[in-house]
Amino acid sequence: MASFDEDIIKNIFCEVLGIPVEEVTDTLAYNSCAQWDSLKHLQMVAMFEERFGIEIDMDDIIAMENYGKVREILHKYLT
Amino acid sequence: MNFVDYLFENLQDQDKECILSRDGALTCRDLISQVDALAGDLADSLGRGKECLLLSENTPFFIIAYLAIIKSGNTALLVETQIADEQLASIFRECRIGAVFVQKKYRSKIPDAGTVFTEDHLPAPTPAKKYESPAVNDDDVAVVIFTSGSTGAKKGVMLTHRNLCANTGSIVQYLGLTKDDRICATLPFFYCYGASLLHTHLRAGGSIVLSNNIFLAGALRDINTFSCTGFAGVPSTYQILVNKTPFLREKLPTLRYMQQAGGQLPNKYIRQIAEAFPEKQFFVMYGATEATARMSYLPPALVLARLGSIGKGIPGVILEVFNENGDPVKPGETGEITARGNNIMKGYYRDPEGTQDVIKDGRLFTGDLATVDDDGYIFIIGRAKNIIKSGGYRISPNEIEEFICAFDGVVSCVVLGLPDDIMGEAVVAVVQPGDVPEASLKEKILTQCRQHLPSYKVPRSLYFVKEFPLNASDKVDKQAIAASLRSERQELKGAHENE
Repeated sequence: MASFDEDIIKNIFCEVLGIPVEEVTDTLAYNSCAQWDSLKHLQMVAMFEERFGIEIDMDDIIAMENYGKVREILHKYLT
Repeated sequence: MNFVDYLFENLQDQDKECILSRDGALTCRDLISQVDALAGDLADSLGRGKECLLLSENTPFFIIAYLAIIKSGNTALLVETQIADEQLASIFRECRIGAVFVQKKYRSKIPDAGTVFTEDHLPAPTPAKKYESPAVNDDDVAVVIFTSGSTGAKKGVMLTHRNLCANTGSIVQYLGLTKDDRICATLPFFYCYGASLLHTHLRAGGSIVLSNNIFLAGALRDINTFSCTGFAGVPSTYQILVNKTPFLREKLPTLRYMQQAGGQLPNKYIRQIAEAFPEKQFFVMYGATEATARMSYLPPALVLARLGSIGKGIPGVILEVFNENGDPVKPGETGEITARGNNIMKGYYRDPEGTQDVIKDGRLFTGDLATVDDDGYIFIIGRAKNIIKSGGYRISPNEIEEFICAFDGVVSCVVLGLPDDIMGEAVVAVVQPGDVPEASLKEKILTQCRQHLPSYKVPRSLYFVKEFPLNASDKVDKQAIAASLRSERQELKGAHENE
């Protein structure tokens, strides 16, 4: 298991959603971001799992509805 | 008959909640009053016979706008929410769009000129005076669905009021839908399969749960929360549920049946699902946008006995497999699936030649290759058309190939679909590189694809080859590439299992 690193999380968001890092803020949300669809969500989850060497629970995958929650949930797995 | 009048023709209970979601519910009365008010506004401002673009996820806004456009005698143009800007621009150039209905989330995709409506412009549900739809000809176009063709350009499939009424009635009949049915809808309404869920449940007097979840597992919760009786998915829906969620261990007590279409679900999944839920019906079905939605179904009682079959034609559709001479095939022989019926589209939008290629003497040639067994059950064995089906999307390889070939350092590129446990088929790119470092080229291509292509078109893997194998006619042999990639993956898998 790797250690928590917010830059890695942000980079994955930028890479998958194709948005600049300035836009990756706590308020960036699935409901309002046109680029963030359910397929990209699965893609990001797969990348978090691979980069951090973790397996994310189903309930957590559902709860990751905005960037703030994603960071909080990954922090829980990595500390 | 106007298709919207047909949908509500048998409505008995105006106060029934017909559209539900975690944000609230809409009764038939409220839905109809909003549709009527908006249809009246549209008729006043646009007249009829105009084209109205609709770009939205599954929301009450989509449903109200969609029904109002059709009811006012105008034509709804449906496009996917993840449509590339370039393709949307070409639709704006080619169509005579009178008004645009767009979900606020996607507002920035639409040019500012012209009449644009969002959720904020919907009329409130009031007992306004009923709007009587203008007389339409059954062969007037009600909907144009834009779908990926084999060349990469979007093809607009024109569906008439007759097409929609015929297919809806037929599906209601064979699924046995009643007012007690409630579907958990995860599939987008802008594609024919998703739209058929909306149509059939309104017609049957049932209800629709808008299950828009960040992850499909949320749909399992919705089925229980809303006591759904039906669920619909494409192959990747079921593959994600089986592989990534506790789906097969769920009880889902209210669920009466599940339906699957939109590509071939591998037999192992059909078997797993049928065995996990022996008391529920599992409908394997087959369709195409060009046939409004549905062409065949396999009766659920036969799902294991005729494993892998798409069944036979649905009521009102004559489905036949023809050999090269135009005769029905004998059992075991291969041919192309053809269909006749009132559900066959009027044609492709502004493409009479393309239409003539697929509809001959009123018969749709699907491009799908199949065989039949001794009892006439049809089994698909391949697609003649060059289309990848991934995550419920139809993807033309040409478009991705062109995108990748445009990079400096790429000599040539082939994109194909390989079987994938989650996506049905995974998009894979094979690149012949020039004199550049492979690692940096790979990163550059994938980064650009992620930024400029919809997520479902981004290659899952990218391989480099020195030369492409050629077939007898000196064309790149995609079959050979696919076969060698499949065997490579098999070896890799074997190696892991032996570790």
